[in-house]
Amino acid sequence: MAEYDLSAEIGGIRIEPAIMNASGIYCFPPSLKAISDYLGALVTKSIGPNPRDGNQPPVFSRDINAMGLPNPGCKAFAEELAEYSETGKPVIASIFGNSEDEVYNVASALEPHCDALELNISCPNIEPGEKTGVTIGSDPDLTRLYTQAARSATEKPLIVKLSPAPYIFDRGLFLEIVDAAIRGNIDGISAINTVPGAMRISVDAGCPVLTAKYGGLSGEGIRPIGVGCIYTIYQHLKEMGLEEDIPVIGIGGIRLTSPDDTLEYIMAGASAVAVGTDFKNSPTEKLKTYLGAWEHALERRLEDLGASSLKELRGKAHE
Amino acid sequence: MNNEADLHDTFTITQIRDESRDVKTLSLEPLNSDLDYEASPGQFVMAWIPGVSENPFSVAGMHPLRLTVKNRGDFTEALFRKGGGDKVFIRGPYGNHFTSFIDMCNWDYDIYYIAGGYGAVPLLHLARWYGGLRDKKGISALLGAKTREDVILNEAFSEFSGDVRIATEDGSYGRKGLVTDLMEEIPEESYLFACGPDRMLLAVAEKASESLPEKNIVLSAERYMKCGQGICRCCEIKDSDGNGLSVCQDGPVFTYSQLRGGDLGKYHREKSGLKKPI
Repeated sequence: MAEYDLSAEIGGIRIEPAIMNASGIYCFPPSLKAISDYLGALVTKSIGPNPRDGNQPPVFSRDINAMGLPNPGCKAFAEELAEYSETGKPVIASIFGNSEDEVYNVASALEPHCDALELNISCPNIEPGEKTGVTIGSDPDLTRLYTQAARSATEKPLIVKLSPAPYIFDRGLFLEIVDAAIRGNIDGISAINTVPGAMRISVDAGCPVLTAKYGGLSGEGIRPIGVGCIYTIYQHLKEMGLEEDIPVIGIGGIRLTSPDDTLEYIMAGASAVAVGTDFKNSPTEKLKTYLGAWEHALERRLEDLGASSLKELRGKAHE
Repeated sequence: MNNEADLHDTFTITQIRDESRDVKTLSLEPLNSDLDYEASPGQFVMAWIPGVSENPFSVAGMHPLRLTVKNRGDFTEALFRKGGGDKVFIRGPYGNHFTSFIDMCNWDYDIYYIAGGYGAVPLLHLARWYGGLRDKKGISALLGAKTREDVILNEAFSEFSGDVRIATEDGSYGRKGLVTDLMEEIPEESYLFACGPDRMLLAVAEKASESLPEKNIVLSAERYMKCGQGICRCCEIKDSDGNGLSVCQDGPVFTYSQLRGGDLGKYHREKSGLKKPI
């Protein structure tokens, strides 16, 4: 019976299988523990310096969310993480802040209790004037400063999560942002966060559904943007000879029941993938079944393609 | 109400009934008369009032959709200001059913509905379901409330239960005491369905487990919710193995065997996700 290698490595951490939850989904430690057998790494929700309620509901409308970065704050969350350090799977703490100091402080608070950090400079659901999320990830200088702030707080692997917004607008600018993150001495890049500016209007109600009006678009419809973005990042890393040093995590519209969704990202250059929207509307036991099925389906597809590992297929679309 | 679509359907209020000083039952019919909708006992819907918020509500009955609502904040105040013909936007139903915990081999078991105040609401939906299928002998409803004015739906329960017992904390109606004081000599071959404040659920479950197997102690839990679809985990409740379950998808109905030793009666998450003692 052939053995298939579905692992990846990020900053020296083995991720097996090479799938994780997207930040914001399933993201409190007890819920992550519930599905930890089926994921290669566990990603927390984005944690900031202080408790934050997030936006007034409705904050979800099918494939659009405007959660608004609700989180318990880094002090309380560090205590929770400390309690759950023994799931046996690496924990990636997602962080954000409204200044370099805040990023440094949040990173410092959480890094003793996790295996890696993911810096969120891509959330679109922020208040006007906030210097966080996509405001940072659309600007190369701010990207460099915030990445360096996180980097200086920890020696553990640091991943930077990027927004599709600058990628859609101007690929040259996007690559400057990628370069700015790289200059922060990072260990990985994840992309994409949600696509900003999405709205759903209820015709009967005569108004937008989300109280915040605009939200980030996720799900199947954004996968082509995600795949193109990963392809662009990997191409750029290859040109600089960095494709082995800076693994990429592909996120956006992956369905657990369609292995080709995962393989599109792998062939574009991703080492691992993260799933969010497709976890929706599943009781925990049902989700575990889907995650198990994802592995089997992926292995069958590898067999079709004459491959025995995800590594063999990584970046294949560039050849 | 289309769970797969996760979008709101438009309902209009056709009737409003006062149940107590701060509880009303709203009857709702869909604007689209072709809408095929059903919600099983135990399930809930997310109700949206544009410009206000969106909140979960247990389904109190179907055909028409009935929501029994207690006035406890901005959203319910806004709902109470609505009148006949006004619109409410509903998505769902979500969650699991009381009835999936009933083993048909045990059809002749005694049934206990144990309600703490407003927790009577989803239990009445269950009582109607059972009432359509078996005799009310062997079915008891135990209703607890703070004071006389908070006792709701007792007349409705007596239609479906051979025995209705009431306790109020101040003794202003029925027996003075807690609903657990009404739990006398529950036979081992019983199902117990409870709904109410979290600490009450824990007290009821602990007392019931002295005579019943834990899998037959069936509890409807409540937690703050945002998505209703199992992904944001605001409504997370830790189970007996330390795993986080969602009240919106894994619940709201659980057995005591699932929840014993976890967050039940002890911890919940606030809007920020901050974990706080109950």
